[in-house]
Amino acid sequence: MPLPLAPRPAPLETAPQTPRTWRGAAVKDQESEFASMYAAEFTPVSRTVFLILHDRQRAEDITQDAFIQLYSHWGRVSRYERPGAWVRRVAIRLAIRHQNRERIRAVLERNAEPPAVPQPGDVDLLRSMRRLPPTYRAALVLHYYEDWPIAEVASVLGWTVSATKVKLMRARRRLGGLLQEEVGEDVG
Amino acid sequence: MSVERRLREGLERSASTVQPDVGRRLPEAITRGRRRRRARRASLIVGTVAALAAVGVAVPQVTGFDQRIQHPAVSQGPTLTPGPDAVITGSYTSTLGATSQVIRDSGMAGTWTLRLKANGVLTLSAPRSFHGDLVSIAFRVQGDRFTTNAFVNDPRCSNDVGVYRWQRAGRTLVFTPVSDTCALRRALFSTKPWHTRG
Repeated sequence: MPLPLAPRPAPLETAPQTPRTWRGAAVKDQESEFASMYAAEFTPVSRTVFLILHDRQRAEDITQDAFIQLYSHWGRVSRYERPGAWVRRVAIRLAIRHQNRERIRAVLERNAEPPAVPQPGDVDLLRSMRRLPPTYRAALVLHYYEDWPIAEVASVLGWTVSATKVKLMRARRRLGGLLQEEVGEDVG
Repeated sequence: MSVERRLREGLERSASTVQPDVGRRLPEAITRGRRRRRARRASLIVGTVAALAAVGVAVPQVTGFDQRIQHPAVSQGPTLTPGPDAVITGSYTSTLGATSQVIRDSGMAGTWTLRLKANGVLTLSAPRSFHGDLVSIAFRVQGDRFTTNAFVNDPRCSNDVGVYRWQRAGRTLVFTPVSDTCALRRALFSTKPWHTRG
């Protein structure tokens, strides 16, 4: 009875690669790392952006723009401790900029109707949050949805820590009034 | 329910309604990311080239060593072609006496040392009595023409270059003015011959 064939041992040395092949392999590695990051982070980032914009399609487009920026800087950002934080920051800044532009446009076009609050979800909460300035909205999302510490929220929004605390407090008071909910005093 | 709890629960519930098609969007992100990276690199290269070009234009203008030095407007005098063994680079000295108003006014009287280097840099050592600027000096030799921007920063020399005919005989170097509006430079280079040191 013939013995089963042993698997062929793997060669100890691979054929020498030309520099072009190395470069191609490096690019492939980079793209596969980027693809993993994209798969893991695109949905959470687009959700955060959605909570600021209240527009799913726009949130996905802005998140995509942030990931395109991430790709073009991937060689450097991939060496950071948390590349995900980098792309989140970019996406949040793009979202706030977009929201500010939209507000100005709405003022200029007085008859512009705000888009309907997407369903399902906490429609009342989103509708109330819409009455807050975009940066306040972003601060609430980052602190209460993303669970970022106050210092990090302050850093992304370009505020001081104490200003961030004050603004979060004002935002919560305003929301409390609109939603008729009680407001706690403690932040951070 | 408190606002804080409502925020945490309500935001979580609303966010979960977002379900992007990640697999469909990824190839587009890579394609556009590559394009953006190429554009960024191209603009970086263009910016660097532009900056280098600006430096290339600005430095000769600042030092006064501009296009005129490459195409000096010289009047054609009698030709005194230096011999094939004539080499202008080296160190020379010349001692000026207080023989003219320019020399007296600017404290030029005394011994000067002139060093002409192969890389086109000219250095001057002046007598202590001289009060003037001796930085950023260059020279160029084309045939028997010697062009220099010595004293370019001196307001008396109107940011111009001087063109001389040069001739070396043994240890002596003689400059004859061809065109130079700067009296300081004319006095220095052509009042007396220069002699090699040592």
